[in-house]
Amino acid sequence: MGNIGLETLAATRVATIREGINAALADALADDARVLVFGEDVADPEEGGVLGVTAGLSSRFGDERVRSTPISEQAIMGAAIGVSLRAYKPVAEIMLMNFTTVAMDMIVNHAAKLRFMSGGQTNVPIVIRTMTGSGYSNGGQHSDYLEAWFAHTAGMKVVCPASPADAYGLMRSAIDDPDPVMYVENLPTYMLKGAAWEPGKRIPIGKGQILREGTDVTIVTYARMVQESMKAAEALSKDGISVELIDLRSIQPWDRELVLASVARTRAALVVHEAALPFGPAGEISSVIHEELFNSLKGPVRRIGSAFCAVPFSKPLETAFAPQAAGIAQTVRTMPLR
Amino acid sequence: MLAKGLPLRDLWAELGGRVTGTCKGKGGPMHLTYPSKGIMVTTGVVGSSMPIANGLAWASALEKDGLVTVASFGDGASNIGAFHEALNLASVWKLPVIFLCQNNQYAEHTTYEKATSAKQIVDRAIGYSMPGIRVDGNDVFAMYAAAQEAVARARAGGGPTLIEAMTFRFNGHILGDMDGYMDKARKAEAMANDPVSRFRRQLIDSGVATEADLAAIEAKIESDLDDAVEFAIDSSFPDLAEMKRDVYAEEIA
Repeated sequence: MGNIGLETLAATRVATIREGINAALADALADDARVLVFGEDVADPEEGGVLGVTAGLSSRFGDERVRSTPISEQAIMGAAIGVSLRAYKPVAEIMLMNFTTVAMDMIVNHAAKLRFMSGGQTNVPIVIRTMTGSGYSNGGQHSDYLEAWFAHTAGMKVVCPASPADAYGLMRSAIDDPDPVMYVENLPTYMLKGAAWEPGKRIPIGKGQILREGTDVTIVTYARMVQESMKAAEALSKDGISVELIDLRSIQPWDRELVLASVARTRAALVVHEAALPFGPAGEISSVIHEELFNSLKGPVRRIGSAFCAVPFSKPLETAFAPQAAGIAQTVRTMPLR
Repeated sequence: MLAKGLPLRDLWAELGGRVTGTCKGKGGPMHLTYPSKGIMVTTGVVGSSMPIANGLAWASALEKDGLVTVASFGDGASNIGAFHEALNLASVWKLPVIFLCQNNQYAEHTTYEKATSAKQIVDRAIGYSMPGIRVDGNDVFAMYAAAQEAVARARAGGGPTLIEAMTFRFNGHILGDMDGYMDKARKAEAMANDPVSRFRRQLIDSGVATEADLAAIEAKIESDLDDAVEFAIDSSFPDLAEMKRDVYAEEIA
């Protein structure tokens, strides 16, 4: 074996998604005095967030820039919008994605629309950090994937990182972005380990990534379903089915070019997400694939999403609620792939 | 808006949906915006100005620039959750913001008494440990004094103020609204006390201006208005491509 270069060492440094988010916020706060972080319990006297994602930031950057708020989602989003109109770059936390419902007027009617309605005189460069995801028995009001609502709203961008380096790089891009970005964190994978980020390196919003190359079928997914789809792809490879796996990373805008190029090669596609299936992002993605590639497809694009019910509390129900590797693999086996 | 410095031509062009309007005609009367004169947001959603005003005021607190943010709203807006969230945060953070409630005694078509539990809006300030001022909103001098007190407090780091300015609505809530829900005698009495004619009398009585001075000013306003309306009518509508612009920083495909 030859020497391991420094670059290889850096690439093999391992970290968690939670650390990636924290490091991105810290680096952004250090790089730009106009970056602010605020939300319920985010400062260190309140333990740096209920799950410690923002731990250490208020001690390092001061409680004027990293600030805990009352439990007031409309007030949080309003403050973010207002301060951003004065060229600050606020990262406002709405603790759980379900709580965005309390602030929908601020997000949908104001953050997303002020640029357009003002004829481009103002813009709202905010990041909305929010976590969600089933798996911890948090029940029906703490676990929903609601990204389709925001992806359906002109003026909003939506990202769903699934690895530590993407968590870091997408946060840096979201903070740089001149428009409002909903940054969706998956609670059950906060401690997921992976290759660490390169400090300062941005992951562009709107660009997906091929995580595994394959020839028989393309699985398009994001967030925690990347893990389940990867397991499914490994199981399928043992059956001689070659899966190309795409992590979209961004939902609005999504990487049409990457998905269409992949499906043009594999001529089969399955879209998987944790959001409920009806009217979910998979409907949009599969429609575009059909519109662009209908004649070359081996069969219809398939979709898998969560059950169409509130996220159940009871463990066996919650486990069955969201897509799993076995179900994803089973669906692929029923698809015409030759 | 005009008092803040929004140009009359830009205003009328925006009201007419013309590309020469302040928002290129894409906002309309409910979304007038003119940042160069401090008109940062106009919202069409009752109560939504207040949480955003806090953010603008927070920027002033961070910059220590002495600017004060004013959120203007009606009595009906004090019944929506955003009002309460915003007043609480403004008070906790001691923000340089003024919550200016124009109590015109009707929330859309519903009377104050039927919709509002507080005897007066200003009482709601107490719950947020915030000074409240109730004032005759139709009295220019009283309004000036109230605003001066609130602005001074905000600039000195004393935090927000809730002002309840008592007034009346001379027009319906929506175009063509015949005011059937308004008490006729009450409206007649309010119109007899029209603040514009009242102020006009005050100016003459106190010797600040003569009838001829005011007539000249009014004639100038009339001609400026005619010019602005004509400018709006003569202006073009925005190009359809505007639907792809200002959605995001980059034009959409």
